[in-house]
Amino acid sequence: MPVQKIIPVFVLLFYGILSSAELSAQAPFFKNISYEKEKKNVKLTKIFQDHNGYIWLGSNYGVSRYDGISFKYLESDSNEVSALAESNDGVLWMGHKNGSIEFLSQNEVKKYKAGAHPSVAVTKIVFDKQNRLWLGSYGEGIYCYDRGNISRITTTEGLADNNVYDLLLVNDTTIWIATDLGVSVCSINGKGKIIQLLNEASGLPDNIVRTLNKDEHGYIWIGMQDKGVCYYDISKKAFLIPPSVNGWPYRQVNKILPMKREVLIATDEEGIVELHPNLSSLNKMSPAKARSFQSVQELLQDNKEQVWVIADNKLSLANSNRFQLIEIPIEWQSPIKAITCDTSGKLWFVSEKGFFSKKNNNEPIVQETGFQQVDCKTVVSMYADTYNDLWIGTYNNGLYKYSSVNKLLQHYTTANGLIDNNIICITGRGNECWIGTLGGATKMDIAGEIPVFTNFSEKQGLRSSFIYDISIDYNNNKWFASDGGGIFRLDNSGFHSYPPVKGTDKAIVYAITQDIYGNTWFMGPNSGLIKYDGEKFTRFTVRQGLHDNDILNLVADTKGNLLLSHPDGLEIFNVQKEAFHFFGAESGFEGIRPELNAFCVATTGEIYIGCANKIIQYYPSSSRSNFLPGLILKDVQVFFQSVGTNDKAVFNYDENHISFDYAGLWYLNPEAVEYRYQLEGYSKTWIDTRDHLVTFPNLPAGKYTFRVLASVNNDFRNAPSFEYHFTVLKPFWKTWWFITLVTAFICLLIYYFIRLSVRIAGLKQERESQKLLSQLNVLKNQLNPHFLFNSFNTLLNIIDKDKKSAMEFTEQLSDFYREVMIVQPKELITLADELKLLAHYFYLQQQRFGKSLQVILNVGDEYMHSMIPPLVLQMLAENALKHNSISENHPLIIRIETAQRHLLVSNNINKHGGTVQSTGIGLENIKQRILMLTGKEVKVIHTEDEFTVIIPL
Amino acid sequence: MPAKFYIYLLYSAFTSLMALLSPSVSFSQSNLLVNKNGQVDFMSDAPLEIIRAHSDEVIGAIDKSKNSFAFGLHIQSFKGFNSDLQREHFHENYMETERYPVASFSGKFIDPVDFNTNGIYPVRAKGNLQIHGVDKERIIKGTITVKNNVITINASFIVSLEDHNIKVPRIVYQKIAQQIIVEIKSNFVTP
Repeated sequence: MPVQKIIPVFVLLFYGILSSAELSAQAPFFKNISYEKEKKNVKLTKIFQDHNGYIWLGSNYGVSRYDGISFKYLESDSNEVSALAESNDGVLWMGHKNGSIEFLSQNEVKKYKAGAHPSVAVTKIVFDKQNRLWLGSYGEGIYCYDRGNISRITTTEGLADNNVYDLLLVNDTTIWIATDLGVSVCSINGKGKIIQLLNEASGLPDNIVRTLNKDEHGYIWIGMQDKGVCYYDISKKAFLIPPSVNGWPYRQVNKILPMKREVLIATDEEGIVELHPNLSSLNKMSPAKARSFQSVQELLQDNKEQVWVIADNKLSLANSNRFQLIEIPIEWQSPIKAITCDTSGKLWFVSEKGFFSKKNNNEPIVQETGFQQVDCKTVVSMYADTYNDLWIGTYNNGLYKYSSVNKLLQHYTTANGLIDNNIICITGRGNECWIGTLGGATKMDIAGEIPVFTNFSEKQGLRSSFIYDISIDYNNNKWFASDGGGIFRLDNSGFHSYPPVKGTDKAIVYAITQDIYGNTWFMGPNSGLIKYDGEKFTRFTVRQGLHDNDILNLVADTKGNLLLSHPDGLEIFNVQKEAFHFFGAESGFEGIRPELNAFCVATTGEIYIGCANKIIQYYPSSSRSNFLPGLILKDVQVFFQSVGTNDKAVFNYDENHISFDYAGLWYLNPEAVEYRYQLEGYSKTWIDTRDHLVTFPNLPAGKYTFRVLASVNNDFRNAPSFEYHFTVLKPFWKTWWFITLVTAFICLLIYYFIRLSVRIAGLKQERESQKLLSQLNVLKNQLNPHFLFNSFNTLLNIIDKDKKSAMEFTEQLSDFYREVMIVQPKELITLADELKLLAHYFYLQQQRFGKSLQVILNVGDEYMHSMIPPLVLQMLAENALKHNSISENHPLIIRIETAQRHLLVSNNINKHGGTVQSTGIGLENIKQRILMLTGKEVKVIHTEDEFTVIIPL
Repeated sequence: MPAKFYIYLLYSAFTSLMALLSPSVSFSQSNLLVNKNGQVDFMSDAPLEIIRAHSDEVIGAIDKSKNSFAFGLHIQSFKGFNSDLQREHFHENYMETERYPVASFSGKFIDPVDFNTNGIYPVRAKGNLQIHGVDKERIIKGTITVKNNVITINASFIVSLEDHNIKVPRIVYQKIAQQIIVEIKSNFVTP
């Protein structure tokens, strides 16, 4: 090749390496959260997470609350928020640029009127153990509010400077104060006293301290204006400067966020700078795809270990803890065929664009030369062995070994004893390596310079010679994933096969792995995930929470999880909890589609997943809590009016339209949150929903418990939940006392009714018997032989004299009897009818007695329709006739008169010589009948010479 | 005129300096040094055009005893530019010089300086930078060189147009940088 042509190529290559240097540094994926700007020129200033999990955002318009779904603005006339803090009792406090202090009470912003507050910006608020409020101001030093008592610390009290940038509560007794002239250490016993100044004289690299923070080891991190960061070891009383920070080029530090692995540093002009684990190296985080931050104001790690950033007046969120992205320079982007990590941590990968490597976290990706002999288009597998030699498997071209010592390639094919030239997978432990091919499996002893191959084909007991994956378990058994033979195992006694698992077809298995608990896991085409615990097979599919039955890769990590890939993202499966968690577009994993062997596990436990344009670095973690959304009851409403969220609420019977507003806090992918709720007391069933508001209209009275669970993968076992108890009161007419009262009343009523009816029935019966008695009496009287005898005598007397009269008499007699027959069964008849009947009777009697019987009738017309029992008057008349002697000298005068609603029947008394046996039955019967029928009493007045019966009408 | 201008500056922009200088302190006092001929250069390095301008009418004052300083200049005093039209645009459209005739920076030196001992002192000056009527607190790095009786202050810093609400139409982004590089130099002679 002519020199002129080599030079540009070299320059290009060199340029490529240089340009990649910054691009290849890894970074989490930052997702921009659009902050609805209702107002113009919103300036985001502060971010804070409260104990409920809400994210609070401070701006020049005050605060707003974010639950992943929406921002809730809290109206206030406040100035720009410059400090956010939460007191020990869970109240949110705000400090403002104009010095005012506010707090939240029942979701309303209230001014804190403690007397004095700064007239300059509040820069920081912290609460000590006694819940005293310590406030740093920009110009007036420190204010301490102790329930109305205000004390101040300024330069007069020894504070280095009155311009306070930051405050940090170091422990229960001291607070650190960052100023332009170093750090003032203040004892917070009593009113607070400056006890120490830490500045350049005591080893602080830069006096202008902009920010302070504390890490989990108790070190105090100090961010400075010009010299980057350092940390202070309290026990050693010494400032420690990470070597990589020397010569800090990133200018002013605004915030420091020490995390588990790395320390994130927010700079004023250079974005986020990452100080790596063990503080060895420093690099500017360059999320090539995400944001290229410049001025970073705020960094916050939330309770899910996600990082929130306010940079360039935008809000972003990164799931930085679990995944980091290593961007591949654009000119080298192509689907990665195989990736491996050697014992030194050096990452190797191959794509159609060639062989590449990356030494460690901060080194750039470089293209490797020395592999020209290998046609990278044919490479399918790669393995770094215990000597850091690379083994490269190809389609059809056999196996290559790349020596880490002399950088030379060696080529092995079937000619050298390999069973097949299609090397689908390579794995190994120590000196024993295994190769899976399309013609069987090969064991390879790499102890010597030249590998020794031992081949296994179907003749040796292999169930299938198409081997896709081989895994060596903790007992040194080899597990094979084959096409056609399912899975089979090789131990000292030979090969063992397993029947195909129900639900998987054709015994095709793509990948097999072992978790730290000794379970074997495998998967085939659309099979879901299958577990073999040594005894039985268990299948996990979308029903159990798997994102997709189509799994591309499967590998176990060192913390008890499985890492799976799908076409649209990665999934972590916690073996013990049997819980899935999927990471998709929100984590930057859209369309990653890793190839078959694009997974590798580093000796330190990280897993690398090679995609077309990036490599995903996964850090295993045993904690599962980060997979669970936070769950809070935001509001309870009656007829859509908020009633607060205090448990055990009691509502009236007409306050029975109840809504629950809850939120599953899952900021990374709020749309993924699903809920399951139940209203015990109303229905036993659990209802699945994605709504975060549920309303129960028309709840009947009763005791209820509202329960909600939240999940991000449709798996509600161990899901966070809350309960809310409430009671809907019965209306008063349904209360026990009211019902008892009413029941008692009704019982009483029924009792009286029954008693009354019994009495009425008794009366009726009595009346009936009285009636019968009277009828009998009347009959008896009418059939009285005297009456008949007398009547017939009378008839005989007149029959010759006056034929006409006799006929009339007979007619009268018969009329009388007919009338008697007609009226007898009746209860009551009109007085007119009775008088008519009586007229017949008197006619008959007068024929006999002539003038000796006088009847004086004086009945008012108004009483003619009054009702009386039949034959009463007749019986009285008969009685009068019966008991008196009747002669012309002593005529019997019967008067029948009415007066004042009474009927008076009277007769004069002419005693008989003889006595007529008086039974008294007739009169008594009349009295009873009238009493029963009218309820009125019949009066009898019996004087010497007159007998009167007074019947009420 | 210069005296009048100086007083005008003191009153309009050097309010903080005024605060430092109590009325009883006379200018002859040796702690207070004044230089009316400081130099300032700015450069806008945009992809399509580089614009430079210069002024040597920066008025500066330092108070050695209080470590405080104040600088100011009339925007009108800038010379240079690539054309007269550009100069006109600079004053009329961007800087609105008639409305905001003065730019100033006043505050304190944070890092310690021994003005009586020869040497080169890297120093950060924290103060209020007022340009285009907009105040911004800045910490600006510079050097103070003390050589015999001459104190020289040098500083280079960047002014972001956005910070000072200087609106440049999007159409000229290729010609006017958003970040302007400013260099300042001033000599103070101890009497």
